[in-house]
Amino acid sequence: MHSEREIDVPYLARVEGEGAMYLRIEDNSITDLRFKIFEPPRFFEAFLEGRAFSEAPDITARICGICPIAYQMSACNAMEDAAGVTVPFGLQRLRRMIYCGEWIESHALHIYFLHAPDFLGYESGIAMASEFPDRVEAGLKLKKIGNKLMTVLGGREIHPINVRVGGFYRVPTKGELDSLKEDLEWGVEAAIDTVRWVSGFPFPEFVQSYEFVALHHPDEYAIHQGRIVSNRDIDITPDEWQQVFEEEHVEWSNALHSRVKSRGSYHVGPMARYSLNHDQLTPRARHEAERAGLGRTCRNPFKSIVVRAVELVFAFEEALRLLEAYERPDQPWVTVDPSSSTGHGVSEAPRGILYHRYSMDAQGLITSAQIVPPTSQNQLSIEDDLRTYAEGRTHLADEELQWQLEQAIRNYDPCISCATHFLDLTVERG
Amino acid sequence: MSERLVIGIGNPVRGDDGVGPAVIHRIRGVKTSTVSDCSDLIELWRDLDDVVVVDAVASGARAGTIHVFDAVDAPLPTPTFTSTHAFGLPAAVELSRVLGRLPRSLVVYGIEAAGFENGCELTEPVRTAIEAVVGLIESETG
Repeated sequence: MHSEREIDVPYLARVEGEGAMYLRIEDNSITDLRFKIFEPPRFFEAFLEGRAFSEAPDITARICGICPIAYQMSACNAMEDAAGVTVPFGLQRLRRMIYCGEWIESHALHIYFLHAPDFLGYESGIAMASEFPDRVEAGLKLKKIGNKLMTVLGGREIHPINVRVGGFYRVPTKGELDSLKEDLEWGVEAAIDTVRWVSGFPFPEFVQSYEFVALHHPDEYAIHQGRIVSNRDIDITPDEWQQVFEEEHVEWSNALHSRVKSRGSYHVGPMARYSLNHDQLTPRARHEAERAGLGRTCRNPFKSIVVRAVELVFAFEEALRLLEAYERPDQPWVTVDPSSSTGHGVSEAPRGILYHRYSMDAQGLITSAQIVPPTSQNQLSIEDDLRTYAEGRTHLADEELQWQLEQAIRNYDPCISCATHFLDLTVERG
Repeated sequence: MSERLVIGIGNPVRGDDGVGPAVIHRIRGVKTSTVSDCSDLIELWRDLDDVVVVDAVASGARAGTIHVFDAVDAPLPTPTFTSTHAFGLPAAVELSRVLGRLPRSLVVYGIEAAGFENGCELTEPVRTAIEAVVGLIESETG
């Protein structure tokens, strides 16, 4: 007997921003699957044209309330690349430190409030909080320390105002950073506890053969700079981006889907970083990963929550290490003179690599901009996961299937259009 | 009773979504803060007694309509797709309630928005409502 059913989820719960999923099943096989996102960078690319090169970090930071540092860093990298300027080592250390704050803040939010409820069978973090108040409080404290780190260095945790092309407007004193030490030490232990907690969750047997793409740096676990590498044959500098990747428009989503030319989908984010740069994690982070049952690579997207927790350990330890080695730079920034040029910048946002390209005229006014956020790079990979995962589970009732597929999307911590927060109301009172 | 804090939620580059920060920009004589990630609210208000929040809403009412809610009294009204946003204002309120960290007084002004387009200015009805809300909060505080 021929059977048809459709699952249409117009809005996705616990996904940053807004997204929608459509799935059509005929005779127990998937005949149509669409994952739709509403994406803001397209607007910003046009908005940036005609603006001064120095404005790009602050303008693009507005794209995302969760990862403003990533936008600022990729923009700074691109502008400094265009000008041929190398930012001194001491300022690079500070950039890495503020970026650790963003990873901490973002990973703690996703692990504790968006992803853990999936594994424990709760509809939301609120439902989970009544039974696990101590866990939720720990998650809030972890997130708060990330915010604090960003505030000390960035001036304001949301849309930090202290970052500029060439460095910072002001660099902190040693004493200001030392005030964070106790919190960071607590954070290392709390993050280890997080790994141990989430590694005990039930995970479906589901392994994918991804092409992982991440930054790689010869000296450290790449965050704010590096070459772009993959577990296949990619090994390029950021300015070779256009030779390897392309964006395609798909009819059902206003976001562009990024793909490796001639190949297709690829996967960015914590699992890619972990799998490509495993040996550069701190010994404790590696030890906890091993104890949690992760191998040197992880290809089960549901286990991304464990990888995020391992990166949380790393980010706390790294921030602490940078703090202890800190020597206040003599100059908070280096001068970057505009010229008619094009620059490329990449950094590792919490969700994966974020690429910026800008062309400027001789006065430093932006003539064109391209921004490729991690979620549009993971779009095809998310659809691959959904299709493969759903194929083996078409026997499930719609509600159960929908729940599991939403979870499969949340594995990516997709940041879709996080820069808007308004209430949607159906009831009106006055 | 601790000092009152007025918090504006929203993104100034997305049309009427910027209504929260716009109110904060105009208001005088009271401690203020702006937030774009609602999960930050829980930490921000956890030890406070008296908090006022201003946010944009989309209920289908006439643009510029001012809705007032007592969030201590009852959860904020949420439609079926309220969880569109990973962690919206209603979620922050309820999580604080579960943790016993809700301010003693939490009043929410929801201003009905006309549009959330990127790069758009605040619409006229919303501008008018902003003046009214600023007046209301200032008169209560004074």
